[in-house]
Amino acid sequence: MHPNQEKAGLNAPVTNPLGASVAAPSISSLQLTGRQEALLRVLAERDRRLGQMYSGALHALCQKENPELRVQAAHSIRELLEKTLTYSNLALEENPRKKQRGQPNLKQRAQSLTEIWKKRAKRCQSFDGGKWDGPVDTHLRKILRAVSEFAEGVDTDYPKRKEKIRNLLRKSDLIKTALPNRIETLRVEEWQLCYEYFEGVAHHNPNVDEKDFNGWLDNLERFLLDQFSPRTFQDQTAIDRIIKEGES
Amino acid sequence: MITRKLVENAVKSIKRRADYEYFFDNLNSPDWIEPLRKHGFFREPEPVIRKGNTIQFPAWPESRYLARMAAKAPDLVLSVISAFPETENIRVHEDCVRAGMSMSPEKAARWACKEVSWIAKQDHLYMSLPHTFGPLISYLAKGGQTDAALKLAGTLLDIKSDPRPTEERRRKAVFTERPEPRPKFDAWEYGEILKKDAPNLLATAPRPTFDLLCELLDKFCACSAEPTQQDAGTDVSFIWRPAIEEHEQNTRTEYLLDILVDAVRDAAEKMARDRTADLNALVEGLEAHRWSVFKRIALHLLRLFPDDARPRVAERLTSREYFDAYELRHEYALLSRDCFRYLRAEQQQTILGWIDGLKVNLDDIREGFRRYMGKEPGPLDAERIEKHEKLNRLKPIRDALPAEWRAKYDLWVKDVGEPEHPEFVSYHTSSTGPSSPKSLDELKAMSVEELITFLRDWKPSGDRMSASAEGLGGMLTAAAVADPVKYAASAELFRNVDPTYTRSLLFGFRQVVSGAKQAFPWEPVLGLCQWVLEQPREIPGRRSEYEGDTGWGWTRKSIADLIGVAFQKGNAQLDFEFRATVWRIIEALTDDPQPTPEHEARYGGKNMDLSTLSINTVRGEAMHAVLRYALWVKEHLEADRKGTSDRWRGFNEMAEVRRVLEDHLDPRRDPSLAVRSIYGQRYPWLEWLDPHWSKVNVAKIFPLDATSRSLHDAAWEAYLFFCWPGKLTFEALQPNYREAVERIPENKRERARHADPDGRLGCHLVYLYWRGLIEVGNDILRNFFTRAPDTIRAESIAFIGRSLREQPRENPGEGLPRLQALWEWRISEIAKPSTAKENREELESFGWWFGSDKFEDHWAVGMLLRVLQLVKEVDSDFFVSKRLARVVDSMPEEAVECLRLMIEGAEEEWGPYKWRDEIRKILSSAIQGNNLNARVKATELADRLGAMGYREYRDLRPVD
Repeated sequence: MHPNQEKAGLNAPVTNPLGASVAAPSISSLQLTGRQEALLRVLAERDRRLGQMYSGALHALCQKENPELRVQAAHSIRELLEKTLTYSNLALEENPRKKQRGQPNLKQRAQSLTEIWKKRAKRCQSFDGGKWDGPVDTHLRKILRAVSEFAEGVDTDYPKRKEKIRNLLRKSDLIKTALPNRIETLRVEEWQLCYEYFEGVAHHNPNVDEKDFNGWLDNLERFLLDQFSPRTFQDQTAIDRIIKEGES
Repeated sequence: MITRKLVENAVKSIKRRADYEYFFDNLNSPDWIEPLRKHGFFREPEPVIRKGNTIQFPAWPESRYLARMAAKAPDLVLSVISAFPETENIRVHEDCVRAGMSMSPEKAARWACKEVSWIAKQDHLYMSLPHTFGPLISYLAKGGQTDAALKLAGTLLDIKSDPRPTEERRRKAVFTERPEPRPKFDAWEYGEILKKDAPNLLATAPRPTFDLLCELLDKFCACSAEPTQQDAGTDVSFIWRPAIEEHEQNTRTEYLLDILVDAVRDAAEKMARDRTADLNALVEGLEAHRWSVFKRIALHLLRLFPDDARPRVAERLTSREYFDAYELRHEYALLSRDCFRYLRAEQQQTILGWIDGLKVNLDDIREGFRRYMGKEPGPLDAERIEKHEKLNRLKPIRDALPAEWRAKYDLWVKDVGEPEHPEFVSYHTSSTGPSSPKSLDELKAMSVEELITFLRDWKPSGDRMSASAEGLGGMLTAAAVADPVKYAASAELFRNVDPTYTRSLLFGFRQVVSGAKQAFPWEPVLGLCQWVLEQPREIPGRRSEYEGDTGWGWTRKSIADLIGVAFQKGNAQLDFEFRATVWRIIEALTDDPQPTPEHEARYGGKNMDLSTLSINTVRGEAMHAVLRYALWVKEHLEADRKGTSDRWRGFNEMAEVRRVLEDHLDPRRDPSLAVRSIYGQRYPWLEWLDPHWSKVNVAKIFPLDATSRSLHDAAWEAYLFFCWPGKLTFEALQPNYREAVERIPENKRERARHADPDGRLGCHLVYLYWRGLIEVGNDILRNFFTRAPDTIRAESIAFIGRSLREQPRENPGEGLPRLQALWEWRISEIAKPSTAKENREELESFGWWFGSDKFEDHWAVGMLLRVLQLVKEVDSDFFVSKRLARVVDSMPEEAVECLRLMIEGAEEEWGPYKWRDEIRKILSSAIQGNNLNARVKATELADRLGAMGYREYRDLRPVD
């Protein structure tokens, strides 16, 4: 058994002579597995709010009389997956340009692009009644430049979720050389599938199968622990078994 | 059986980079290759990582695995590595080379031919890659794959032109730099391949290898030549390679050219010796190249194997072009030396006729002198110059000359002398240090009177390569050290010898006196010193150091030095009866003009700190001697009155010292900063000698008025660096400490010392605190920690830790509770997450305290933990990790947590490597111990290390 599963040990706060402590948030009314406690502690260490989201999900699941228990739990878990990409100190660093005061947000950028479109499309000789035909004149060039800048800005300042996930996985890996793309993509997809499942439950599916739900939750907990509190040697023992099976 | 499902499981089991590397490093069967390839592996080599100006080449576990499997499944591995997309990651190429060398040479050659096209495209081959390719050349050659080996060698050793335009080479030096062709990698590696691998290729394919080496040398010469030299084939090899054979004249300044010449020469010699090629064919091959170095190698070859090409030897020796070519002079001379005797008489006469007809053009000589020496030559004797030139040509063949020519030779030698090194166009010699006309044994064998006669009579020639007065002086010093009493007893006889020798003699005495136990005959030596002081400081007309010292100034400095040593305990001390005599000498020296303000401006400042300057000037050294004299007097007077009620009355008992000290404290009388620094450096001595005088004069020694700033700083900095404050000193200097702290940000100025006076100031203040002379609430101490930058504060904290560490363990030192209180105050001021960054170094310096082992475990570990939680790094991490390994049994949880934070703080993945033994001790103790939290944390940390690639801690983990 992994020591994380030794319940008594994991729930105890880590104290030091100066009195500072890092402990999992107290959930006295819940009976948690060792793994859940370990994950709770790891998430709380990264950001208190992440711990709260996870414990919120676990609390919701305990309300057996609540007909929406899994929907509400899925809400919290979806948020957890979303915010882990943002709150964690491993999150993709925001583009400093985006942080600067006075920099336009996405809506303002779209409005600005629209303005350019309105102004230039009228004058552009290659645009007539909704049809494009003719050379790239000054006006069209300005429209294209504005579109290009808009696209580049969005790409840089608003990375896609998959990029954020990939980045989180890379930063949480303790060896800085990235995994091969194909393995990394599998991990990203695993995260994304979890996200989509819980998002689906949160939005549309109050009657989700309990066993199915618990299976996804189990997968997610293992995934996050693997990433943030690796059990490397246990995993390598599993790899040994696979190699042995293949070579016997 | 490796199924698709199993491979999928394997891939799914890889959760992090460490798992990926582990998986591939532990595969032992080539049966995985095909299924893994089908699954998409072996197709994307690890990309290089570029950060700023650096480039990293990460290992690719997949190619590493293939390299291990190559011997077991060569065909399969060959097909896989041959299909690799092109990569600039050299680690992948290295794996492929290892794979190739595990296959048969035929298979390796197939891969090598593909690799050659990649090498050809590379501008530079990084790190150990060339070192990897070299053995592959040998492997292919020995395996009979000569075409592949030659292609690989040719591409690997190819040379590129200097990319710099001519204008850039002109700007960089007075003379235009020659173009510098460059290979694809480091010159040393290039040489190693030529030395180790080219011979293997030569053994298999002699002529093609020889041709390849010639092509490389040719290309190098072409790329090294200026455009104007290209057609003429001028390679100036007689300068960079004076001799084709191994010779001390080959200084090897053009390393790459030299090793290529060696390679071509050695290849040609070996082929000629082994008769794997016809000598004439080899010579023709060499002479087909336009550069003169090839002709020289050909002449060298003809000289070594003349019997194989007698007609060609005669042809070359009787070629007027070869006879005249100064570039071929060396090899032509050696060939004529060895083979002139074999020429037919008429051939010999042809050469002798050319020698006879040698003429010199005096106008050319004069023009050359003006151009290169910048002056007119002296009177030139055309006949003598011509004789000399003829002798140069005749000397190599002297033993084979016909009788009539031999007679001419002997006659001319009598007239103009035997020519030296006639086989070289120019010849280099060098010598080191001044040399003496007499050896030490010769000097020791002389009586003092004989020696003095020799010193007076011998005159150096003035030639820079020959014996000098300085060299003879050095030998005299050694003689004085060997037998000091002999020379000291007769010291007065050394009057009227050159000051160079007197100085050297006194310097020898100084070495002997320092640390000597036996009595030393001081009286005659003091007599000689007094005589020296009566001599004029300068010797009119003496300017050159080859003639000797330019005056008596350096001897005066030697006297001050010798006398300063004579007062020190443990040396051959002066008898107190010489007090008056020795004072007269010292006092005279304190009036010496050196150091002048000009001297200080020239040698001080950034060049030399003032304290060092003071012991390198006459007056400075004399002022040091004054203070040593004062201590010596006090010691003797107090010893005399031991048991009496007489008390020490300070400078009242040596008014002469007070007078000189007060004199030189007056900046109008002595403006020297070096002299002022001595007052600061020896301030505690002054207090000890006369506390009242010191108190009265402290404001003069360390003046605080703005106009005396430089004098203040001279004394103050010397004080900071050389002294530690006691109670009395601190009381006297409190205003100065206060003022120095106030000036902290402004205290920066150009100085020779590496250490920062502000750092020393901090060390003084914490030392005062440590000794209980000030408290945490002291305004100076507080102000220091408020004003000083992080680095300076850290220096003062680290100073305490280092000092504690040096103290013996059984005596942990008094004042530990005070120090704990100091640190608690400091940490309460700086241990805030919001300000941790700006106090980082001060926080980190606590590592020295922890590593000192002097503080109680709980307090020390608690503080360390607090520091690490803020900054995750500490100084002295080596000692910190060792102590953590010692405390882990009593404080397992804290020790593991500290270690975890240190590991997290290590910037590089290899960071924890330096603590590997301590990590093992800490983790194993914690995992095997009874503390559950510690066990959990240690296990997690072991796993974390595993995820960083440290597999060595796997055995520590409890079995699941």
